[in-house]
Amino acid sequence: MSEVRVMKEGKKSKKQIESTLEEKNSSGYDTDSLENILSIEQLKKRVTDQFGEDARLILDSIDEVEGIILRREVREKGEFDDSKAIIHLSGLSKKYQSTGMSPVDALKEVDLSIVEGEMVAVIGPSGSGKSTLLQMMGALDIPTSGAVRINFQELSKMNSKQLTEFRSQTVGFVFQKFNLIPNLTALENVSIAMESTKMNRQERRARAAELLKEVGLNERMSHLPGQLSGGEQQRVSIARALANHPKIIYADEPTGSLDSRASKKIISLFDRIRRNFNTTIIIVTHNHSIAKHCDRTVKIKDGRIR
Amino acid sequence: METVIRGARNVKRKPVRSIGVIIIIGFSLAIFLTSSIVASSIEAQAAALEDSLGREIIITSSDVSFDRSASIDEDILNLTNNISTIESVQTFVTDIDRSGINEVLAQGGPREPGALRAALRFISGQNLSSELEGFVSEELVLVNGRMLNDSDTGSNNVLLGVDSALANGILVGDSIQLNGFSLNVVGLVSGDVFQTNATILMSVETAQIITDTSGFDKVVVTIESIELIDDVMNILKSEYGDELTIQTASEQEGDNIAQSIDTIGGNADLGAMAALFASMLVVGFIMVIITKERVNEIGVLKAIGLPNTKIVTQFLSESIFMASLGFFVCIIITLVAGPMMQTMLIESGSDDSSTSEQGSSPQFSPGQILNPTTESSSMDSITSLEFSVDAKSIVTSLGLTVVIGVIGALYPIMGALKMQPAQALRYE
Repeated sequence: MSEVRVMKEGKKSKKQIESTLEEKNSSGYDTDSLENILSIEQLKKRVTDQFGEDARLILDSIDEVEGIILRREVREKGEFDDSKAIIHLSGLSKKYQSTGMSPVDALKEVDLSIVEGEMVAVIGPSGSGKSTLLQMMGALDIPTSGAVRINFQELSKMNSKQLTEFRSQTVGFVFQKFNLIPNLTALENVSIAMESTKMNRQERRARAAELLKEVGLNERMSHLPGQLSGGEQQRVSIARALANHPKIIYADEPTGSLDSRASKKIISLFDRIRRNFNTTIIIVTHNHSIAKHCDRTVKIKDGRIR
Repeated sequence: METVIRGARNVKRKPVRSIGVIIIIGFSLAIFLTSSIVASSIEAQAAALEDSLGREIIITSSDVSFDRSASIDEDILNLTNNISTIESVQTFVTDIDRSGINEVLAQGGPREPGALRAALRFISGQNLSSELEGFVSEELVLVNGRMLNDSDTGSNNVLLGVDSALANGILVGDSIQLNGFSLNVVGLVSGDVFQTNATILMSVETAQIITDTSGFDKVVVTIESIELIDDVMNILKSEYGDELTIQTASEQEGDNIAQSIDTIGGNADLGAMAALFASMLVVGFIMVIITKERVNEIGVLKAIGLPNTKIVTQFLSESIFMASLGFFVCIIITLVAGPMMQTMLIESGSDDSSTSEQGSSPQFSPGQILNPTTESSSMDSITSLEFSVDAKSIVTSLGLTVVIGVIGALYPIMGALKMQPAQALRYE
């Protein structure tokens, strides 16, 4: 329990951290993690003073170090509390039946819990059921059997309208092939995700612009997907996934179509998102180096979690 | 506006295919638009024709067979002359006695008896009048010699159809023998009017002498005003209603040209329906293909939580945009190629009608050749129809465009919406 709390505190804003530190000083409440964060905050300030314009990039690197420290603690010191799991799968199975073909078990009796704010890598060979697992968790497909509880709601009990709202408000998807709408600009691709909300057009566009700025595409907003590089398209896709402040982001091979440099940027972006918005992030990947950035790695083979 | 921009981007993405699709849509719609314009023009022209014929009453024998002699007694002229509201009276005599015609011998005789029979089929007499311009009409073209005039009344001067003249080697100035009478050919005539080229034309009095009759086959009475036609009809019917057929020209004309108009109008209607069906099939099919290619996009929109209504609206509006571009192409094609297509449609109808009338039982009425208000002249007025694109046709086509755009896109969209998002995302 204490590890979970530590991790969450680690993702609070600077002000909250300072407040916690003040509390620590006055109450004598002590954790190694908070001390680490304190030193990191001091380091950030020094780096910003010294490097000015480039400070953000360096701070990102520091953020990564911070994340590594926190995740290491989580891995070393204990397990999450399942009752607080934002994602809970029990006995989840999915069977695909094609005409004239024998049925294929994509998932077999999968049990999995993921707590809020966790960044989890789902890793496994091709055809192991990784993407199917992600689709079940994101309400993109219906399981053959078993239950999916997301954000304390049973997906199977939701009607079509509720599922649509769930996809819009609770989760965000990032796909390997980006899946941007080709005849919409970057800005429109992001703002279209907000069309189901009560925001008016101006508000949607303003929010989309803000998100694109956040992912470093403020000068590429009016470009069509075909005019953007793979890495840029994936960043648009991430901005789209963030549009409605989702609690969970599902990323299916998000770096699968990118070179190593672009991949690194994307992972760094996920890290920052997780830290800034306390978003739970599930990444399906082949790439073990990406898995190292995550709090936890779930290995899947032949439809079963190993 | 966003829809237009998105639609334009779609076109820009795959320009060759998009332009091809737009042209196909435009062409399909153009066929429909042209056919419907022709159909409505013919209907309008037929109505106008009825109005123009409204002042004429046509009196014929109740016996519709061709093997008859003049059956309207000359006394009818006494009656018509006493009706002050009658503007003019035209009388006609037609002889279709083939045995008599076969006696026609050109100087030197016919080259081939069969050719004579085929080429010379009718004798037609009409009362000559300066007022009525005698035989001179738009449909009758003088090839050689001169036309007949008032002074030829009762004389043995005749006009000969050019085909008969050619078949028998007859020239202007030659004499021909008919029923024991020697007739002088003073002119050769040609015309589009039914059977003109196979007829000997003369004054009604000459025809009566040659055919040894005293009456007429047909009398056309023109009334001063259309409002008075019922009164005159009543007088004529009370006198001759039992023995003669008395009908307004529009009625008879309607009977005569009904088949042709039906054929042309039917062709146009059939063309319009076929084009409508083909348009819907072609455009619908194209829309299905285009939208199916975008099932993946529908999957994405579902995955990011867009409600079905929004997805349908977006795709339908883009589909309608594409169809609308096709509509503009349709208007251009219609304006450029429409008149040509109209001519083709009408000619097909005219051909059908003349073919049927050249059969063994021709529905030829006496005096038809020289009467300006004949089927042929009516047909001419139809063939010379002006091609104009009216607002109604445009609105109909535009409506059709929207319907096609909606139906064509709706089918695959609804199919995609029924899929789970993951399935739509996997769709190839």
